[in-house]
Amino acid sequence: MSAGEAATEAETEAAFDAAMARAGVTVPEQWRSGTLASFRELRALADLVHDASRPVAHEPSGAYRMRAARHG
Amino acid sequence: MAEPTELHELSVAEAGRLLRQGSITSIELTRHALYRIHAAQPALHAFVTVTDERALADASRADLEFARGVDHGPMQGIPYALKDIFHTAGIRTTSHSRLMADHVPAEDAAVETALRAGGGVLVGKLATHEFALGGPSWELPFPPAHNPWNPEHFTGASSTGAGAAVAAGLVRVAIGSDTSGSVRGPACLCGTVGLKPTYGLVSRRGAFPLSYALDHIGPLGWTVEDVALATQVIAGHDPHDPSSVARPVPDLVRGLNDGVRGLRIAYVPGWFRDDPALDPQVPAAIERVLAGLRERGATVGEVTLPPYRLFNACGRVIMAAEAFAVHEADLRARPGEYGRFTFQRIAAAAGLSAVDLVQAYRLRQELADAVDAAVFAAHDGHDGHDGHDGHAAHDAYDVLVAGTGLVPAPRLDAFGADWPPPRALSAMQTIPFNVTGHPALAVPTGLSAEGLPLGLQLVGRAFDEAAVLRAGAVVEEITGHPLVRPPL
Repeated sequence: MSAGEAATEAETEAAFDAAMARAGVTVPEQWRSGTLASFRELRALADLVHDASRPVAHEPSGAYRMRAARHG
Repeated sequence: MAEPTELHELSVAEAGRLLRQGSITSIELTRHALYRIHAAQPALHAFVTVTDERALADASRADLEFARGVDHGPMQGIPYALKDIFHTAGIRTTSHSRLMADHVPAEDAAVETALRAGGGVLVGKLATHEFALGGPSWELPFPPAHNPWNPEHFTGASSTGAGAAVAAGLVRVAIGSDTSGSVRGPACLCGTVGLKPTYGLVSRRGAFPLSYALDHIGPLGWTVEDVALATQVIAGHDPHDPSSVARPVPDLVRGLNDGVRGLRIAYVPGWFRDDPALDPQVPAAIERVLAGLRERGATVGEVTLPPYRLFNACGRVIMAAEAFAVHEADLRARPGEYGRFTFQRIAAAAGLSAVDLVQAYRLRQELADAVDAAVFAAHDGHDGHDGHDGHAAHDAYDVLVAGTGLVPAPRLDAFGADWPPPRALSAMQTIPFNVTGHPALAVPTGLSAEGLPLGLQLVGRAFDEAAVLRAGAVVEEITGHPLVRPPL
């Protein structure tokens, strides 16, 4: 699947199982449905933070600062 | 002397005045608070632990010091409570979780140290969503807090007991934490005031972390003045908290009665105008408040900010990734000991990548700069101001008005078995200012037709809590909300 394509349910479940296995987390079976729903929701949010229009060298970087702290 | 039945209606300042006059004692105030806490507990479940003995000892000490002329400031002799994520030496601190049900810390959190040094009286530890995340759950060692305006309804976000305790008049002030809105959400849905201070103003040391980048500590109080006085006591540099900022804390109370004449207020209705979850009573109440602010001499202008969904995505990616980092070992070793909602919310972050988090951190700075550029910087109408084009000419605004909860408190039984709940149950627009770090004050705007609180938030420049508190005091004057208590 390439970026921007919607994942099928089977692909999402496969990605979920792979992520949990990699993290070493065993999901209790009765909690699987909600954990998978949260995973799906979080992946959609993560897609939003990837802004292809942002140049790779563009600051700000991860060095967070409070610009407005200079006021007052 | 004040009638005992009215003691809980004394503001922090009023009680302080009477304590210093000798008209009341801290023991009287504290016994009254403890009586009300125990009486309300079966209906509200606001407290995880009530610290009766400690409270009476604190109160005796405060009275003794008043008698000796020793004055530690505005919280001396005043009962308060802490969300149960704040470490309290020798007192159980559970984070409302089975995993920490017997945890007794050896040291106090920084806010508790400040309040103790200020002569405050700790009456107990308050209910929270598990680890300040989770949701309203009945499977945990302690029941969820219930909303005093209608106990069948939700209290809103994780400082649940704090919202319930302040609204019910059990304490005037409670300390909560706010990572995506957990001070302002309960303040909004329970009809109290709540301040998320600027990132770095209040030390987080000794508060169980949820998200290192987004956690803020702040007070809920019945009035803006109560919140200002509590903030004055807990704010200040802590060299043991790397996020703490070394700068003097201004007087947060002196300007409370200065009014809003000449204040420039921005309004951002675009964040919720088209949200299908929006209850029209919410913007109607905000518009009434804005009209009142205009009548009192403020100018109000609409601003456009980056889309709310970007702030939400940025904040929730950071919060989830960092929460996973906090809980990684226990998620592996003891998954079944978490509550269902907590596990489902945190474990899902296993699907985030390092790249997701880096991009979210980058977006965070862009969004913080965008708020400063659109609201708190002046524009001459030409292009290129601070790298952002398209702003109409205007002077810098002093305060931004935004929505808090887009719906009144939903019913507790509307939450399903699994996370996530229906969208309308979590329709809060608080996370943008955890992302940016600006101070944000939740203030009630009145009651819905069903008798449930509505609210707004006032946002200021970094470290300009004084401006939002000053505006908040006028909002209180417009709504008259502090005069209305829930029908307990």
